Amino acid sequence: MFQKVADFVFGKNKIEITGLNLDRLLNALAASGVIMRNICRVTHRIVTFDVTDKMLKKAFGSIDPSQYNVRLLSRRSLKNSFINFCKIRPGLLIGLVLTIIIIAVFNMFVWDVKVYGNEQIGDKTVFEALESLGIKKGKLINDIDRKKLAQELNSRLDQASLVSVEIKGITLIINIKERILRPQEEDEKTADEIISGYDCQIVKIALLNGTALVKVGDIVKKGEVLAAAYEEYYEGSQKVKEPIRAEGEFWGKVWFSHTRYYATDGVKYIRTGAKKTKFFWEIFGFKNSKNYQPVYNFFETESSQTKINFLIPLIIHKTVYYEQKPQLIALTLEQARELYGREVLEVARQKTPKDAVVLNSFIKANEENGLIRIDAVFETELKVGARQKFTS
Amino acid sequence: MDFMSELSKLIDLPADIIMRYRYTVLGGKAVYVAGHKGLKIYNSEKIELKIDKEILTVTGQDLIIKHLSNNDCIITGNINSVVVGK
Repeated sequence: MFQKVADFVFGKNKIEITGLNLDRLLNALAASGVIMRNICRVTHRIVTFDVTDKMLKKAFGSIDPSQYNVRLLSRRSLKNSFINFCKIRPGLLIGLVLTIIIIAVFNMFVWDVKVYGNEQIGDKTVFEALESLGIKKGKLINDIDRKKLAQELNSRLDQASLVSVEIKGITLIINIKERILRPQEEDEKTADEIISGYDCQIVKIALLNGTALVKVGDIVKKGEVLAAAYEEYYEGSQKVKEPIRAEGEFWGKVWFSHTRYYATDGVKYIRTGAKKTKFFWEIFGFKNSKNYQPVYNFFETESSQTKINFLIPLIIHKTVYYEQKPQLIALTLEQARELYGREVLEVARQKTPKDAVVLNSFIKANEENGLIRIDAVFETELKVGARQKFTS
Repeated sequence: MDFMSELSKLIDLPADIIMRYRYTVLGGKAVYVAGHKGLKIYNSEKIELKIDKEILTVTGQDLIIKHLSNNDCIITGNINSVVVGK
């Protein structure tokens, strides 16, 4: 087995030599460094032996063609097998060459852009900045001066403190280090006391200066003073009240809610079972999508896409159109909650500040004056302390 | 007896360590010869190899030289005898 593998790698060439004094010839070949294997004396004038590819050249160089007739009986090696294979199947060779060329050519362009390290700066902003600099998918990699591009991006993106650009294969990677903004200095024209920014229930207090006028568990209204701008202490038996700018944080439980009313009759769309599936592909940003409109009066769609990144970045889009028919139904509270609850909850969610920690959310459905009332509530925890600006 | 043979006898060492050639017969099916000086006669029944100042003769049937290089030689086949002589 091992010998066969070695023969295939190093080559096994069978030579037949015809002539006189073959013993001398074999000695001469051995003396010139040719290693022969399986030497077989066929007749007293004919001898055959095997040599490797490397030894074949040496052997031919050592044999005098005027005295000996040399015939190459067989050639078996990786190189020869490949050449023979290519002769038999030229299409495969052409395909292989074309594939290599395609890969080489497509590797010369940028086909993907990735942005890392951005939190405040949106991807869209970066892409717009890139596009204004003439960098988009399909740009020749050699035309991109990474240093210059990084500098240009740095100057265009205000919130970026450092931008680096690297190219990995066909992907342009933009690494952004964002500027850490200093906490905004307190406006001197604001009040010294801390007031509540929301109607809430106080859950945590961390006060540095000033006097807290509320305690944990208190329910406060928007605008109510949480920390007064003075400190009280005793000097002997005398109570001293000293004005000081209140400093600290107050956290409270805040509920964000939204209410909507709906009629008790509702239309429910149910699938009839009929469906149509459509495919279209996308390659290097080019789509072959056609505006397809199914024949159904009412329908809903489900879309999915499959990315194939083997050799070429191909994306296959699949859209299924399901036929629906409307059905008039008398809504129960439970059905109304299921049908409309999400959209009311979404409106309530939009009212919630970004820094709020959502503790709980719920949807309630009640009947009120012949209508269905849907309440969606977000229970959150957030900093509620604020300062009131002087109007004067 | 030449000098090398006498020396091997004197210091009680196997002759093939001191001698310039060495041969090994493997179960009557193969002979390995190291340090030969070239082929003298080769046919399927008899192979003669020059070794030092003597001749190594291998006789048998279907003899094939499995490997031949400047220094080593492997002979395979049905080996009847291996004789070293002048």
